[in-house]
Amino acid sequence: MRTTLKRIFIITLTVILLCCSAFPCFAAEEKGIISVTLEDKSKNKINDVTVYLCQVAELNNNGYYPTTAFESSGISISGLINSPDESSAKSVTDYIKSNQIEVLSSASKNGKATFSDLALGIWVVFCDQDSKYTFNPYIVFLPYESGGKLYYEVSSVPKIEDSKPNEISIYVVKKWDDKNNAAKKRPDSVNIELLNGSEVVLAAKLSESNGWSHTFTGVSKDGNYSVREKAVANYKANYSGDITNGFVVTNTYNGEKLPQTGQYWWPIILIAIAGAGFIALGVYEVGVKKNAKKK
Amino acid sequence: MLKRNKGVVFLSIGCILILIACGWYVYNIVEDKNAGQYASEILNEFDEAQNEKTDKNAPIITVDGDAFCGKVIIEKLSVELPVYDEWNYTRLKSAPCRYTGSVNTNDIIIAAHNYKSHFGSLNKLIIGDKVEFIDAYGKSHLYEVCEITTLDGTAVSDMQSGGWAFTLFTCTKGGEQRVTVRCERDKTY
Repeated sequence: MRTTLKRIFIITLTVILLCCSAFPCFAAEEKGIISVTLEDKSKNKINDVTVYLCQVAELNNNGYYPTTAFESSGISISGLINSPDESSAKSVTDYIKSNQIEVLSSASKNGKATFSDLALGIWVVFCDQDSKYTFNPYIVFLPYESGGKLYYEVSSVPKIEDSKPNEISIYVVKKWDDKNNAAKKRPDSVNIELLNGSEVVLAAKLSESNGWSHTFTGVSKDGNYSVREKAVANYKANYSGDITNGFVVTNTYNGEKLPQTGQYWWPIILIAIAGAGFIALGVYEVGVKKNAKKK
Repeated sequence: MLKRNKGVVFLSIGCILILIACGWYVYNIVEDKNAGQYASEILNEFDEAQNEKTDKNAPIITVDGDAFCGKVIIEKLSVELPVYDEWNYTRLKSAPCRYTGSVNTNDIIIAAHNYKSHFGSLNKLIIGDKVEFIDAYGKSHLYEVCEITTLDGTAVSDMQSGGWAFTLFTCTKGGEQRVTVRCERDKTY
C-alpha cells in the first residue's frame, strides 16, 4: 500500500514537472530589471542623461500582445520580434514621441540607469541627446532568452554616436481615414517627400512593413521643412504636425464619386418644357369648353 | 364645369412650373455672378497676403483662416483664381480647390465649379494652350494642355491615374460627368 502511494506520488510529480517544462509559464506577477549603461568609447561614464523606457508589448502564456498605447499604432509586434533592429526601435521611439505616450524615465548616475519592477514583455529604450553624443534607441525583450535560459535582469548598452548638432531627424507617419480599408482601395505603399521650402530634400516609401512611418535622418537643422505625398488614387491627403513632433499625413477616402462641381441646368429645361405642356393642355381644355358652350 | 376647371388647373400647374424654372434660372445666374465676385475678392486678399507674407517658406497662404496653396491663371479664358489647399463643398462655391497632389510632386489636381467665372469655359481650351500656377512661394509653374477628356462622376481612380503633372476638372452642364484638362510642364518655359 505504501509502495503504491509512493508510486502515485512520483508519477503525479513527474507529470507536473513535464507539463511545466513543456509549457513555460510567465506568472503575471513576475517582474524584471533593465539596466542601461552609458559609457563613451574610452569607457568614461556618462552622467545626467535621461534614459526612457516604454513597454511596447506585454508577455503572457500565449505570447506577446501590444500594450494599450500601441494597439492601434500600426506597429507590428511580430515584425519587432523578427527584426528587433535599430530602425524598428527608431520607428517605435518616433511613434512614442509624436503620440506623447507615457514612458518611464531616469537620469544616468555613475554611467548607469536602472529600472526595476518591470512587467514582462518588449521594451524600447531611448535616451536624450547629450551635447557630445547621440544614443541610438534599441529593443529589449524581458525576460531575455540565451542558451535556453531566461534572464529577468537585462544589462544593456546603447550604440553611441558623436552628436551632430547641425543635423536633425524628422519623423513622418501615415494615418488612414477609410473605415479600416472598407472599400479595399488602400495601396500597398505610399511615397512621401520631405521638402525644404519647395525643394525636395529626401523621399521615403511608407508601407505596413515599416508601420506606415519613417524618420528622415541627417537633415540639416536650418531649413523650413514640410512633407508632401505623391497623390494616392481614391484618397486625399491632409497634413499636420511639425518638425519637432513629426508630421502626420492623413489619407481620407474620397468615396465613390468625384466632387460635384456643377450647377444643375438640365432640370430647368425639363421643368420649363413640362410647364409649357401644361399651359398648352390648359388652353386646349378651356378652348374646347368655350366651343361646346357656343354650340 | 369640370372640363373648364380641368383647363384652369392645367394652366395653373403650367404657370407654376414656368415660374419654378425661371426662379431656378435666376438663382443659378445670381449664384454664378456672386461666385465670380467672391472669388475676385479672395484673389485680392490672396495677392495682398502673398506680398505681405512674413514666413517666406510656408507652403500655404492663409486668408481669413483658410489655407490657399496658390493661384491658377488661364489667360485664354481670362481666369485668375486662388486655389484652396483642401477641398470641401463650401469652399468650392467660392474658389477652386486642390483635390489631390501638389505641384511639388507633379501630380496636382484642381477642382472647381462650372460657374462662368470659375471653370465653366474649361471645355474651350485646346491642346497646346498654356495654364499657369503660382504657388505659395510666388514661384510660377507653367503648363501646356495635352489632353481634354470627359470622365464619369464615379471615375475617381481614372481622375488620379495617368501620371499627369497638372489636372483641372469641373462638371459638365449635365452635372454627371467631369470635363478634365490634362497638362504637362511647359518645356519651352
